[in-house]
Amino acid sequence: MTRVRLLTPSLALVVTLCAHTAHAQAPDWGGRWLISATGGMQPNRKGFSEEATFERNVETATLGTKYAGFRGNLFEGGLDVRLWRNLGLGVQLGSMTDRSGAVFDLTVPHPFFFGRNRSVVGEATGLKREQLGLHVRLSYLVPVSRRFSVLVSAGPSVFQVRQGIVAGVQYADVYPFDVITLVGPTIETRRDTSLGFNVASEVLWRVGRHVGFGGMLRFARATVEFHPSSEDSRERTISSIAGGFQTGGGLRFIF
Amino acid sequence: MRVTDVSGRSNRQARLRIDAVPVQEDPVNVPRWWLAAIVVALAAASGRHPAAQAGVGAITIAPASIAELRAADALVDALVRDEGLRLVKERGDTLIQGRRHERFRQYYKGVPVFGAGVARQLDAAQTISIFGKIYAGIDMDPAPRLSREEGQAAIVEAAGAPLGVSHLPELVILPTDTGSYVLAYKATVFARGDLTTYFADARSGGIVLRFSELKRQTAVVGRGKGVLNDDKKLSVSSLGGTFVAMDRLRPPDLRTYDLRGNLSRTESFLNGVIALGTSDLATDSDNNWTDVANVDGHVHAGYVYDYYFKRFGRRGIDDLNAPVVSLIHPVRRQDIFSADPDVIGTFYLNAFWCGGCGPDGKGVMVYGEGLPPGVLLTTGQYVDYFSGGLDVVGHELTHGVTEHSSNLVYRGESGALNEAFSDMIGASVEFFFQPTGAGPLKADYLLGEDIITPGGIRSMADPASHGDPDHFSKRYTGTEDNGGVHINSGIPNHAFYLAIEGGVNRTSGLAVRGVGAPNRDQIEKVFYRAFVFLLQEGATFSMARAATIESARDLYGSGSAAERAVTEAWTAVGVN
Repeated sequence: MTRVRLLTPSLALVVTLCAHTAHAQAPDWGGRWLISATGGMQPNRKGFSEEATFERNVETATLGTKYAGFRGNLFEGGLDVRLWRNLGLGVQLGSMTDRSGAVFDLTVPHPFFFGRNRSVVGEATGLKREQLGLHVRLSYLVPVSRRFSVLVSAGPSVFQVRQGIVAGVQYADVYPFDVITLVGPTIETRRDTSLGFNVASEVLWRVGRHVGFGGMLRFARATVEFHPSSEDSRERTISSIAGGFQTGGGLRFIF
Repeated sequence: MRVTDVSGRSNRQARLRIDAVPVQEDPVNVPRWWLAAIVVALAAASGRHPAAQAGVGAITIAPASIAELRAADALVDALVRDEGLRLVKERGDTLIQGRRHERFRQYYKGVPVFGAGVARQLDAAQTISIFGKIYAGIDMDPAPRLSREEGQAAIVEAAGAPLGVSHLPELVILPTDTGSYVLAYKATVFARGDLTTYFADARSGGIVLRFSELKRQTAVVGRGKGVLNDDKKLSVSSLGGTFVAMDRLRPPDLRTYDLRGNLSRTESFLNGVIALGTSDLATDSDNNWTDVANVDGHVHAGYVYDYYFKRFGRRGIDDLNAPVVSLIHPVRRQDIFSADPDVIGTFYLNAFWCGGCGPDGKGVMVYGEGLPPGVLLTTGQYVDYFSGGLDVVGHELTHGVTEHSSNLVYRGESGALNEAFSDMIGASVEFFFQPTGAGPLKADYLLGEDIITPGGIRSMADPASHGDPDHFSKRYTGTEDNGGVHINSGIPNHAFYLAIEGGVNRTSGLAVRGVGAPNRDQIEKVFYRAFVFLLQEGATFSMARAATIESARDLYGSGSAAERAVTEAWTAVGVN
């Protein structure tokens, strides 16, 4: 529902801009095709967390994990085509890779007594996150001067995220079982693909007939879910936000 | 109704005898007319009669009549002649002289069929029995596409562990669950903490079957209700689809046997006539244990082991993790009305340490069955399952500790010290695991108060309340009860109590400054150290006084609160 609510006003904004500027400015794409190559970053995002439960020693054990945010370098390529006047349709494909960490807190019931939990805390490092984003955009070019113009766009996005997940924690538990000792986390990589949206604004500075530079600011977002393996029959679901604010710049080729 | 009203009715013949009923599988018996077909089919499978492919899959051979036995015997002979069966082992019977046992393995065109074969018992030349499983309808080219080395490589890749050249896989025909057959290489690999047998397709190298060869008795935790309807966790084992009271989490072999009211079996075991097996262990099908006596017997034995380990660093009865064995339900409650008085006194209204009994002769604990509901003692007390008392279990296990340490002679003052030390530990275990207070599942200085209600059987705080002396001047000097071992134990018991809690001895009027309940561990260690390491088997009360004072000095120094409390306590109870 959130995606629909955000997408609708975004599209409305673009359409409004189109209606407002189409009669005032001459078409200024400078060609039919716009090819872009962008390098940038996705600034730090909020992390995500999971509170998993499983049965251990006839009681409920808990594994709470808090994942740090990710700030990865973004690499994108895209192709837009002018459809009519300053209105275009394009697609951008970008990837981001980063490694981050997580802190976990494992609580395990005692094997001999009810209500006597043992806990251990630890940290998992080097959790890899690979994010692929495919952004379809309906764009409108707003000429500012002979060399400068602004491209505003919005549309649906598809994110595919591969994420290192703390699936479990290995621990030593020996008689008399009063404490547990951390051995290390068990890491699994899980993948999910989800549909979201994107809203972006881009400044174009044309330095030649077919070549220019562009600076991009985009907000794109989708919710992905990971399902790590469970200690028992309970299904685990970890929700994470893909995307966020993305910024970058690069070359633009117009033909 | 009081137990004394019924205990005189002696009728041992009325005891229920529970005999094991053998469980039989339901094999597919092979009728005679089938056997001929099998012969043809297997002969065909051996390549001799390609036209006859019966395609009948697994056939269980378990002849039910003499005629079928003869037919099966003929079948085996025929298959042996055709090399469909090969003799792999022959040995004499160690229990019945003259009998021999042959084991045959099924082969198809020179390749063994996995899991197929026949065992034949012979008396001289006569066949006595035949059991086995053979496969018919095998129709395949037994030539593998992969070499043994290639088969080994496929298994190694799947297992993730190397195999030496001496572990080249064996080529077999693997019957599958769907009724087909696969020519496969078979090898067993130890990797990732498991011993796994792999079958790799001898044509493609793909793994078609794998299973663990490790025969595990998995430690699991169960739940159950105790005698006082309290929730408890049990450390048990998963065995053959059920759960048995065999603790795999604690260091010693901690087992609880359920004698299911079979007194003759109980006595036979205690006398060393029979050994108890896995089938005698207390068991539960779903690991939600409902037999309250079994639950408490098993759990409390574990608690007492834990107490000794945590408080004193002691590893069980002999400090070498000797087996901790408990016997529950030695008799049936409803049989009490026809039981002999001695049986009632021993197996209904008693718990005891049977030194020299059990595995390795290291002793077992036996817990009485108590009384049927509504039946009371002449004292007006009800007696529940003895295993339900944590202090009772602590008391009995401590007799084992004493036996393996000071070995206090069980008569006179040394016997009273023996009993007193068991009471001290019984009470201490309660204080270790239960909140202090009065009533069920609370730690106090009463003995057996949770299962002999109301009031228990002895009081350490006020021995006189249960008719026992609280001062040396009041000691029992008769010959009953081995010279009053359960009576005069009140004197050192009260000294132990006073050393912890402090107070005034009612007889001497002397006040004692105890170390206080928060420091009870000091007095527990003082007495443990004295009774386990310093005293010898003929110790007297006076020696116990000297040993505990010495122990307190050793542990906490001269002039320490512990030394002062112990000294004052013994003086207060009249032991100098």
